[in-house]
Amino acid sequence: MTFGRLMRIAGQSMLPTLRPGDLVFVRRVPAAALRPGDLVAARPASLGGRALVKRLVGLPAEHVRVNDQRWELTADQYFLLGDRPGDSTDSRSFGPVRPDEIVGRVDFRLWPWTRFRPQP
Amino acid sequence: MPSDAHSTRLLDRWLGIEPLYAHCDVPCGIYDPHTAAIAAKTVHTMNQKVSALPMPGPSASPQEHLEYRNTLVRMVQTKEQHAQICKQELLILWTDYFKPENAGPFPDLHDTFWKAAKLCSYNKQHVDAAKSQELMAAVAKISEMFQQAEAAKKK
Repeated sequence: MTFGRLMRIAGQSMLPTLRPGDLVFVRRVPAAALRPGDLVAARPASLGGRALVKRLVGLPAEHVRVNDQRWELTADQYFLLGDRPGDSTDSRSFGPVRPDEIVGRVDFRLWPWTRFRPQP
Repeated sequence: MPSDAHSTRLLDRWLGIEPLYAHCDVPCGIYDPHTAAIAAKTVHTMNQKVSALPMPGPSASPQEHLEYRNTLVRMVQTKEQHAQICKQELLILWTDYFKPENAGPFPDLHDTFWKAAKLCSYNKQHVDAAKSQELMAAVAKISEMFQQAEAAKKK
C-alpha cells in the first residue's frame, strides 16, 4: 500500500493509549516529517522482522537521557520509547532505529469505533 | 476481544493485517539458550585445563610458583564467572521465557531447571569434569525444550 496500512495491536506496552486488539492505520511518512511524541511503527532489524509500535522521543543529532543512560543520536537515528517504560522493549534495548526501519506513523485508530480517535 | 480473538486472527490474516507489537516483554527472538550452552562449555573446559595444569616441580623457582598460582587463579575465576553466567541465563529462560502456556508439553521442566541451576553452583564449588559434563548435558536438554517450544509457537 502506498499511503499506509492497517495493523493490529498486540501487547501492553502502549497502554492506555493503545490496547491489545486495537486496529490502527499506519501512514507511510518520510522520517524527516516525524515529530517527537508521534506514535511510530518500526521494524528494528535486530528483532527479525517484527513490527513494534513506540513513542518517538529522540530525533537525529539529539541527546537522549533515560534514567542514568545517555544516547547521542547520529544524523540518521531515531529513539523510540514505550509509554510504559517499565514494561517495554524499546530503543533502550534494541538501540535507536534508522529511517529505513521505520514503517510509518500511527495516524488513527479504526477499531473499536467507540475509541476512534485521530492521532492516538 | 478475547472470545473472538481466534476469528480476528484469521480475518487479519485474510485481509493482510499484520500485528503491531506493543510488547511488555522482550520479543521472543531475544531469548536464546546459546549463551548458557557456551558458558557451560567454558566451565567444562576450565575444569579440564585446571586438571591438566602441570604443578611446578621441586626445583621450580619462586617465579615459576607464582606463575602457576596466577594461571590457576585465572582459570578458576573464569570457571566461577561462567558458572554464574550459565545460572543467570538458565533462570531467565526458566522464569521469563517459559510460561504456563508453553510449558505444558514438558512435565519435568521445573525439575530440569532446578537441577541445572544446582549444577551451576556445584561447578563453582568443585573441580569435577564429570559434573561440568553433566551441566552441559542439562543445558542441551533445556535447549531442546526451548527449540520445541519455539517450533510449537510457529504452528
